[in-house]
Amino acid sequence: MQDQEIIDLFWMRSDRALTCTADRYGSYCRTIANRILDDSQDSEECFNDILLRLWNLIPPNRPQNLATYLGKLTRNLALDRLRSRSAEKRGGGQVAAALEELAGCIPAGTTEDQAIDSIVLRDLLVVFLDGLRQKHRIIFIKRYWYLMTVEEIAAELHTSQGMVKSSLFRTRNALRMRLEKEEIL
Amino acid sequence: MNEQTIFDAIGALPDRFLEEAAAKPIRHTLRWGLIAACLVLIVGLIGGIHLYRTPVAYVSIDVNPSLELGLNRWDRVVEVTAYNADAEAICDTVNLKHLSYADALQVLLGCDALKAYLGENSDLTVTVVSDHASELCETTEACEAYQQHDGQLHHSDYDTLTEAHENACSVGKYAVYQELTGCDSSVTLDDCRDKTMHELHEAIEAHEHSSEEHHEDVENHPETEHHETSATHETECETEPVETSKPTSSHESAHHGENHH
Repeated sequence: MQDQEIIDLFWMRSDRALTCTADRYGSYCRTIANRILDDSQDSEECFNDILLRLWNLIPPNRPQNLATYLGKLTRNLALDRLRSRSAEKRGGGQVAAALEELAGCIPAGTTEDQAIDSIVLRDLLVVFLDGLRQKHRIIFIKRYWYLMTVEEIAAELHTSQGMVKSSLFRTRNALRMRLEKEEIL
Repeated sequence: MNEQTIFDAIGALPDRFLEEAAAKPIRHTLRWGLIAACLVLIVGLIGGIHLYRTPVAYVSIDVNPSLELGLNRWDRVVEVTAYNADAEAICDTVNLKHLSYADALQVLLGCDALKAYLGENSDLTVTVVSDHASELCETTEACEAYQQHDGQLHHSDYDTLTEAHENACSVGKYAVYQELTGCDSSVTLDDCRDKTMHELHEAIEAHEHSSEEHHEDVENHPETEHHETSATHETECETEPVETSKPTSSHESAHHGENHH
């Protein structure tokens, strides 16, 4: 079933919308959630939350790209769930690893309590990513947005893990230099 | 600012980045298939262009202007060679390239620049060198402009063509030169270059005429035979100039309506 037909079912308030979404995007959402939560049961519960949230959001929303819409929803819900998990501070999933790697992007001399406008930072990231070669940009997004492991990225892009690691390392360094140049501390 | 700030900023990136990263990469096999298909296409294209641009047949058109059309396997003009200044002047006025042979001939013979040479004392000679000469001869005969000028049509062979090209001469004029040398061995190609086809044909006729007179003289005055021995040898050449001068059928006549011998 095509995305537009699924969205129409949501608008018609048909229960089939949920089963169709689960059939088409269940695996995709669970994978993203599991990368963040590193727990299949948590991921399954997260997926049920996603379906409920989707039911409440459509209508009134009518997403242009259901896959991206679901991806964002999954990421945000899984991160919320991770934050609320009291037993683990950061969780053992890819979030912890990604955050550790991203620490390398923080310009020298930055203190943790320095506030930065999130919109300014996002806009700067957009310009920065637009300036990257497509392959490096895709690797960066796969790693830090989709939280895919280096192995998964290498397999999906038919390249070596070394190449993916090298690309990420260079991109992080370039991002740090850009932040320093823009004096975003 | 900390890593969480950057992580959150990445999470807020516009959808286009996510869509780009989520798009399925082209599979290796598919990619190689596409590359192979492109290569085949490129090779085919280059081969096709090469085939198109390679002349396989030649048509020499001589009056005084002397030029040659190179035709590809689809009888399209892919080469136009002018062999004298008059021909160069004509080539400057008409563009024959990529025209079909029939159209090119019509344009060429119909153009004012060439018409200026097609007066009363002029011979339009068309010489075809091709594996399918008969078809090109038929096309030539069907050409309206050719019919109007009452031309002479011949076909020749690739050996003569090669020899003509080696001597920077059109095959039509070269074949007539060979014919003339059969009558008069002292004639050189350079003597013929600046002569019109009409003048060359007249020279051949003059030799034939003197040869006939000589035969009559020998018959009427047998006692003079002894003094004309050397002339008799030349006459043998004159009677069958084509075979003697070029055993490889250098200038065989293909046109049945007219023959310039």
